[in-house]
Parts: sequence; structure tokens; C-alpha cells
Amino acid sequence: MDRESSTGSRAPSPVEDRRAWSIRKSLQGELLDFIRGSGFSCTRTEQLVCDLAALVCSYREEDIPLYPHIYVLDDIDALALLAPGTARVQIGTMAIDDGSAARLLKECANLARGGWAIYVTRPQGQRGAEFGVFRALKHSFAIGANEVMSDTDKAVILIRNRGHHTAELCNTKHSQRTVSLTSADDKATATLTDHVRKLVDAASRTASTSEDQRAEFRAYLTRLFIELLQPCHGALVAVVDQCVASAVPAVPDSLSDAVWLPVPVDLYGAHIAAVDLRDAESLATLQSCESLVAGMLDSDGVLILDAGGYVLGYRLFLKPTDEESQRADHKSGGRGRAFAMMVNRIGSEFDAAFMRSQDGATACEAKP
Amino acid sequence: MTDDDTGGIWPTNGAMAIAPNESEPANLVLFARASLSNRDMQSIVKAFNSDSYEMVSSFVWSKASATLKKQLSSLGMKFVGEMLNRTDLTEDSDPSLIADHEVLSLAEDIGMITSTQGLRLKHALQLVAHYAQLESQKADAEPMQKEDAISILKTCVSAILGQPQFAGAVEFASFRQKLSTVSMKEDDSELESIASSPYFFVKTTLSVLLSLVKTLKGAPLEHATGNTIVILPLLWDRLAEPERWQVGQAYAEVSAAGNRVATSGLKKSLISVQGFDFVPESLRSNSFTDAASRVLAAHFAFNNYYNEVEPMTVLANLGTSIPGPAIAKCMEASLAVWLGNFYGNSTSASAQADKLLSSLRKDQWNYYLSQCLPSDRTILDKLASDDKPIKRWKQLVGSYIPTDLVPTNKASKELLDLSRQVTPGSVLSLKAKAKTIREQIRK
Repeated sequence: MDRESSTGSRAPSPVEDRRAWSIRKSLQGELLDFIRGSGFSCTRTEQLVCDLAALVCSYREEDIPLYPHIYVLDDIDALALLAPGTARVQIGTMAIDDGSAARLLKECANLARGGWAIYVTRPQGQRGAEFGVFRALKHSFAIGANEVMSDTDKAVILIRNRGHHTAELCNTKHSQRTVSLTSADDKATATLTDHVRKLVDAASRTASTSEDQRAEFRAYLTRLFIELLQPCHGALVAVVDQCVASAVPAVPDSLSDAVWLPVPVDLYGAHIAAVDLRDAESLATLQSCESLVAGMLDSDGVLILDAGGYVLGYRLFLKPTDEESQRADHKSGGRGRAFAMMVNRIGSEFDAAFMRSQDGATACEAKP
Repeated sequence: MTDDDTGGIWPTNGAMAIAPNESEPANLVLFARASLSNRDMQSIVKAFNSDSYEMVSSFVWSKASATLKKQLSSLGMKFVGEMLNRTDLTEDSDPSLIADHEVLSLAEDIGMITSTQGLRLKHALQLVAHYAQLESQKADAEPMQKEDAISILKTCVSAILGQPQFAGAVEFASFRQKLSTVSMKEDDSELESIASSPYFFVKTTLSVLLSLVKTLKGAPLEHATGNTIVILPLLWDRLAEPERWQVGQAYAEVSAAGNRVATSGLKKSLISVQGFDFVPESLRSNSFTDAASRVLAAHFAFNNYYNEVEPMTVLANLGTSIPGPAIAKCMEASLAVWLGNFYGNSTSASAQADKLLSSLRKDQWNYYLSQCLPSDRTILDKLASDDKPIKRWKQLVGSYIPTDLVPTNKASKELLDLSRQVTPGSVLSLKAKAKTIREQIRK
């Protein structure tokens, strides 16, 4: 509206060109084929999936970030496929409309931790959707629901956070979509999962002579690290070179500022024992190792692993060489500079370096 | 069709040919040269000559059961544990940990003994257990008769001790080996024989496949899962619900164990038959099955009237929300205790069984009668042989089973109808019907 000036003539409106843009339409357009290809033909379900994907990219409750996994199902019987022998807790039913996604997360996101995930489905012949939580991961070495999703005729979409303002959608048809609510180049699609896998490959290279056992351990370690890294405030992880690992505790001076464990934590051994023995004692041992690793990741400094599945130490603080000091990017934070130093030392002291920043961005470099 | 010719996938053992009127211990033991030493044979004859019937029967029984257990253990104790649903048996377990009634059941399943031999051996076990637990005064007043001891000796020799090798077990082991070393194809002729075999063989083949999938690793596991994917669709329509639950339960267990190859294989199998209705929502059924196994172990062992009470109490306290995979075993155990045996039933244990049976719903009774009873050897053996359990059964039917319940299984329906009759000849008719159903298990 024009404003009148003190002389009585009309002054131009300060804002003539006003536009608003939402990702809603473009997200719907991008995901429509994916959702229909997953086996869903209901427009309300399509909207629900889009809304959930957008919310999960950066969901917070009371300013605490939450990382729920959400399974959208066409048929409640699919839960028997995804999570055999596990419990399901129905929270309620709802009509699927514009507010459904927010309500779903409001009521269930806080419950979806420690192996629990959210499910939402519309039973046959009913207008409303049933939702609740179920045990997507029974315990540390069980097979998770996301792993058995593929190669089935059931319509299932898994929606989960996979990094800084990033959500990932997977279905049972080996299709995957990544939604990134940033201005990053969409060709730069490496995500938390990709970076963790790179780290885990380096951390399990010599864990066992059996490829099957290494593969099992890699799958376990990947899941564990993703679960532990998502809620933490930022982390640095390094896989040290074999020479360094075998010299512990007599490490090079450049790595001396750390807590080197006199007896390393044998994460690989605990995992294999749990898988072989399948008893309460070995599962308790494995879970106790996981708690320790979680605490070490939450500590300042670098978590130190070797290539055999051992945790060698934590709270490593790197001293830059003169060259590293000169080359340091003083605009980046302390974690960024430490990561740059670690990357510089790959091939000499480290086999791999991983970083997760406070805002959730991840990076990983490893020896080829 | 005789016990030896059941048209199954592998042949079963025949009975050793001993003349029906042979009753001289000194002659009978000679047939057992394959398993007994000269010293053993002499001891048996001496014991008979000195009228030590209880002692010689216990000795003969222990030799027979040990022989059978040793033969079974050659298949691998972990495999035996899987077949018996005994989670406590590992590869290093001693064969003596297999209960006597379990070894008879499994031996019959894999064709080491015929169903008639199985019935006779169960009676022998019952006799030995009964006399072993008698207090000294009663034992003096009612000693074992020579005829009973001869019967026990003859049964054990003809079925077990007289067999130089168990051809049925050898063939079964070879069949099992094939399932884990050869990948069968859909047009394999052997698959046709499996699909058209008597139900008993179908059930045992399924148990073998699932136990292989749960216990093997590496290439043998891949063969076993591949064969499961091919074989299960052929069998699914014929499988009764307890066996379908078995598949779903196995899927839940391998998933919980983190066994990716087995999980993937069983998932594909269940998808192909749309069998996810039979995947349990928890693994609680293991607790129920273990408790039921303990009840049965106590029921068939010495001093059962006293020893049944504790495990039956534990089973009753687990409640009547019995998970699907465990219903068959829990009912078998509870009914076994409630019905008792030739000599009677344990009052205290029956009271606990009563607690469970009296609170079952109509649909649970219907499930048991329609799906489980036709292959429940334990209960059918009792109904086919002993008057006291039959009378208890008629009482149970009148008290607990709704009058409007009609089982979907024809044989069970006929048995139930006979159970409700009060005519003087109904006990004999019921016995005959139970015997017929029992004999049909392997056909």
C-alpha cells in the first residue's frame, strides 16, 4: 500500500517484488516417481512421505536434535518381514492430512531410539493410518529392519536423517533418494553412511582372515558408528597406521598427547563372541564396549582405532608441525584444522581420518 | 502298508525277526550280540535266573537307550538339539542329556524304529520307571512279573540291541548330507518324492532343513538355504499350522542371531509362500517350549509323580497367552501330566496342569484338536493303550472342551465324538480310534 508523504504525494511502496518459495512442490515432483515406484498409489501417503522427509532432515524437540527412523508401510503384515520376533507398540491412528507428519514425529520421535523405529501404515479398508513404534533392531548383533527390506513385494519406504539437513529415503526395490535442504551441489551426494563406511573399511581391514566375519563386523560397526555419531556434538576418529598400533604405548611424539589404553578395547572380539555364543553374557560384554566407545566419542580430541577392530585410545590432540601451522586454514574451526592435519598424515601415521562437525557435516579420507 | 514300507524319502529300519513265542532269556540275549558283550549277556541270564526282574529290566533299558542315544549323537548333538527343540544341547553335549522319551520320538521320526516299536519301547520305559520309583514296601508287595521283564527284554533286543546298524539312520544321515552339499533344482526328481511323501516325512524333512539353516555356516549353509527356497513352496500347502509356525519361528531366530545368509534365504522362502502370518511377534515361545520340554522329561523319567510338579508349576505360571509356535508342545506336556499313565497320575502336578487347561479358550482347544492332536504321539499313545488315561481324557473332554467345538480334522472330530459317548463300549472304540490315528502318523 502506498504511504502518504508529508507533502501529500504518494511514496512508492518499499517492497514491490515479493515472492515466497517452498521446497514443497519441487520435493513432491522429485519424489513422486520414487514413491509410486515403491508401491504407494495414494496421494495422501505421497504427501506424508514428502513432509516426513523434509522434517527428518533437521528434526528437533526442545532444541534437542532427534534422528528417528520412519517406516511407511502399505500393509501392517510387512512388520513381520522387517522385524520378526520383535515387539510393536501401537501409539494411535490418524487421518492423513497436512498435519500428520508433524503429529507423528511429535508423538513418536522421542521413542524412536535404542533400536526402536516409527511405523505408519494404513490398514486395508480403513481411512485412517495406524502408527506406532517397533523394534527395528532387536539387539547389537541382530539384523536390522533396514537390512531385510530389499527383495520383497511389500511397499515400504524408510525415511531417516543422514547428515547435515539431509534425509535419505530407501525402498524395497533397491532405490534410494537423498533429500538435501542445503545449497550444496546435488552431485556431491556422499553422506554420513558413505563416510562411515570408508572409515569402517579402514578400521576392519585386518580384523579377521575370514572375509565373512569381516563383512559381518563391518556391517555391525557401520551401524554402530552411524548410531553413535548422529547425536554427538562433533567427533574426530582416526585409524592409525599398523606401525603406530604395534608400537603402542611407545608412540611417536606427535601422537603422545592422548589417552592410550594399556589394554585396548577389543570391539571385534566382543562382536564375534556375541555372534558365536549368542548368550546374555557375551551380549552384555558387547554392549558395555559400545557404551565405552560412545563415551570416548563424546570426549574432546580424536578417537583412535586400529585396522583390527581395536579401540586403542581417545582424547588425542595433535601438535601441528611448522609446515602444518603455516598451511592451516585459520578460518576453519579447531575440529576442521585437526582434521586437515590428520588428512595430511594419512600414509604416515594414519590409515584413515574421519570428521563430523557440530552442524552435522561429515568428511572422511583414507589410504587407498 | 507296513511300517517298513511307508513310501518315504529314506527307508526305515525293520524289526529284528524273533519268533513271537520265544521267551527264553538265554535265547533272546543271543540276538543282541551286536550290542551286548558276553559278560552283559551272561549277567542278564543270571539275573533272570535269580528272579531279579526289576534290576535286569533297568539294566537292559539303560543299555538300549544308551545305544540309541549314541547312534543319534553321530548326527551331531547340535542338530539333535535343533530337532528336539532343546536349546541347551550344543555340539559338545553328552548324548546322555537326551531324555529317554525324546530319543524314542526322534528315533521314530528318522526311521530308526517303527511306530509299533516306538509304542512298545514307551511301554517298556513306563514299566521300568514305575518299578524304579516304588517304595521298598510296595516293591516287595508288588514285584515285577517275569512276563513284564521278558517283554522289556524282547522289545529292547528286537528294536535296538539286535540291530547291527540302523539302516534308517544311515540313509537319513545321507539324505541330510545331501541337503547341505547339493543344491537341488525345481525339476529334480527327488523333490517330487519329497512332495508326495507321507506327511511324517514331509514334517521331518522340514525340521531337518530348518535345523541345517540354523546351525550351518559357509557353503553348506548356502546349499541348505537354497534348498529351503526350492522345497518350501512344494510343501507349504500340505503343512499343518504347527509346522508353518516352525518356519516363521526359524526366521525370527536367525534374524535375532544376526545370520544374514539364513535370514535372506528364509525371507525369500516365506515371501514365495506368503507365510508371514506365521512369523511370531516375539521369541517368547522358546521359554514356553523349554518349560514344556522339562515337563515331558520329568513325566517320562523315574519318580515322575514327584518330579513333574515343579516343571508343571513353572509352565502353568507362564500363563495362557501361549505363543503360536509353542502351543503344540505346551498342550502335549500339560495333557500328558493331566492324563497320567497306566499307573495313574500325579495329583499335585495334575492340579497345576488343571490351572492351565481350564483357562484355555475355545480357539486354543480348536487349534490343538484340529492341527496338533493328529500328530501328537504322546497323547495318542496314552489313548491307544491305557485305560486310566482314557478315562481321564473323557473326563477332560466333558469338563473343558466346549460342546459346540467341532475340529476341522476329520480324525480328531471322530475321536472327540467317541470321547463324548458314555456307552460301555466307548472306551474300546476310543482306544481303537486313537490307535488308528497313531498309526497314520507315519503314513
